[in-house]
Amino acid sequence: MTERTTDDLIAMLAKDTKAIGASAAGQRLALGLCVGAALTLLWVARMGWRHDLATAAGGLNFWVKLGYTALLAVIAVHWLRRLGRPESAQPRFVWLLMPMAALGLIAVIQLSQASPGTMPQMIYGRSWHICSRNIIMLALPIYLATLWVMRQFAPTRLTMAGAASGLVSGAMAATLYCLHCPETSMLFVLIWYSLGMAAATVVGALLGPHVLRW
Amino acid sequence: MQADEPTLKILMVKGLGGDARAQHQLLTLLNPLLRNFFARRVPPGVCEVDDLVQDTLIAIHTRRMSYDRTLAFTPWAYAIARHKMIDQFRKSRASVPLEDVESQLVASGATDDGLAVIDIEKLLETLPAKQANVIRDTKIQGLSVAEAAAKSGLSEVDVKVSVHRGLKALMAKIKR
Repeated sequence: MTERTTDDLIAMLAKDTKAIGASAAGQRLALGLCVGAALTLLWVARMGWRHDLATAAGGLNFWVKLGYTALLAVIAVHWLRRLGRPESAQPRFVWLLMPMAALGLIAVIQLSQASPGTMPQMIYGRSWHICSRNIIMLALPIYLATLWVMRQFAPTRLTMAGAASGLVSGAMAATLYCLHCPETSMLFVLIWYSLGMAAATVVGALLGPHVLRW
Repeated sequence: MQADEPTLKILMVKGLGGDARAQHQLLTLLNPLLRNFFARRVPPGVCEVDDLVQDTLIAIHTRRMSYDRTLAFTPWAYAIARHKMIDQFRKSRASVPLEDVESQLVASGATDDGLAVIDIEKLLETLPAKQANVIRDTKIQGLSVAEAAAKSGLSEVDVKVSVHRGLKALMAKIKR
């Protein structure tokens, strides 16, 4: 009897066989991330662009900052993509250390050139108390979008997949936040941006086993 | 037809191309493989191998998008099977064996089977219609979750959740 019902199930499933393109998964992920990022961008626009955006975009600082968060986002998206497959291996976290080490080095150089006594200013800037919080907030639309995508895939490492969702959303949100945040100290970025992204990652990892179950 | 990696992969890729017959063949070949896989790993009494096989077949079909055709097929399929098995192990440890509820219902109703059936009906009527219906289908008529889902037009998760909540509510009512 059970054989028969399984056969019936197979017939029922097979009847509903739609074509799925080779790049369907990538497209789905791209769609989700674009929608999430667009919402976050609107939110950043509401906060206001940094007042000197046009001149800042001509300087190196702006791009180093943006490059740091964007690089982390690229690594995380790559992981997210892989963790959507059930047989995926554990991601290698050492990749995250490279952008951090690079930014750390730049921060040290920047610090060595700064006049003495500006250290607190380099660490706290003017917005340290809202920076991490803003990044976590801005990560929310992108995080929800990654959940929408991942729930259609077949992740089996749910904590890892959740962490990757969190890091993707945190890093993308931080990248877009660069359009608002006028801070120029790399030490500031290294501390407060990283803190915001790390918090998003931890929240994602904790929620993963619950929200990604299937 | 032989159920080896090259054959299965060809069928899978054809299925992804929209070929329903290849998909049917693929799932049919996977059925005994999965049964074997679970039978060797699931200790008796933990859960029904059939339910696991069906759950896995459904996941393999509905989550086809997550398969990358540049990679091997069987690791993907067995990773899904393993995931379903582990999920089932965790569930069975975390909850009371729901199969026993029916006998508890009978025991608490009356010694006469006929009366017990009436009592179950009465109890079921106190539940929301959705929960009562899926419990009738899966626990009294003995349909599988997949069949109950197909019959009621609900998703499978919905059926499972409704059965679970319904049985929990019934247990609470009986204990009172």
